[in-house]
Amino acid sequence: MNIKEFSKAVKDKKLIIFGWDCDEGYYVVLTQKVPKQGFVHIEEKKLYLGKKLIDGALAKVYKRIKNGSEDNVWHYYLQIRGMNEDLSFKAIREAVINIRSQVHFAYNDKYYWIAHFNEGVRFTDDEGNSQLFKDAQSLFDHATIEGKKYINKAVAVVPIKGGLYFPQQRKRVFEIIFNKPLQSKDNNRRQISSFILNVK
Amino acid sequence: MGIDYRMVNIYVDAGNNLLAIAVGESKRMVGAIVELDIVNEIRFPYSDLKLETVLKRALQQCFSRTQRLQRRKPLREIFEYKRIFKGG
Repeated sequence: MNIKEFSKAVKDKKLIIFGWDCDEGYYVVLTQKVPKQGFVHIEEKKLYLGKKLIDGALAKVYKRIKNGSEDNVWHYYLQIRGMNEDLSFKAIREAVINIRSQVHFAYNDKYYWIAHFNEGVRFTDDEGNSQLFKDAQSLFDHATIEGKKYINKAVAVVPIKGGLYFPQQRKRVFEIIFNKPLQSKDNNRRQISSFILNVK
Repeated sequence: MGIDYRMVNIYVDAGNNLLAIAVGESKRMVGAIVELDIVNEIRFPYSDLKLETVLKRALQQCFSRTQRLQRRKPLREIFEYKRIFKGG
């Protein structure tokens, strides 16, 4: 079969790829036809299923990719991993504590970063101040932001629609809401900061 | 040598029928990755369970054999695509 025959055969067909990678686990990705290049992966429309395939998740994700609704992918990811969206700050806490995820977030225009090292967990801001804790649990209990123990008071984390998204590093920007539950969106904007989580 | 990755190409037509084709190594072009001559067909309507079973099976078929010269049977393959997609 040559190229002409192939392009004739796949005319008006979509190509979706289901794959597995030893580093990243299972994924489903939508492709796009680009002239002279054939089918090209759309990295924004790539959804990771994790290293272990959960029953029912593949069909859901496949449909989601096929129907092209890529927003709120994070919500979906939590759903298929059996986590509750309302508890997603908890889910992130769990991720940091249990699977040593690296977390970036912003609060009052300052950036903060939680990273794991051999000697413990470090909580750093963009001015270079850092606090070192022996484990992630004590970081959440004792870390201070602007002199206050804010970090444990976050009540929810909301994915930003159409926000920054780094598919290669599998990071997604989140809004992290401190102290108050949602009332009106405009009021909350001031308290909300962005939140980037390394999805593992 | 262990397999580091597997890929299944899923072609979807306007009627939602699927062709799941596993990839493997080409015999003619050593090292090149081509679609194998194993076609898993899923006709619409299908259940979630069937979709998963077929896709998982297709994933297992990856690299299960090396694809021979494709040039010898060009029409058969294109016929395969046409038959499934057009229902002829």
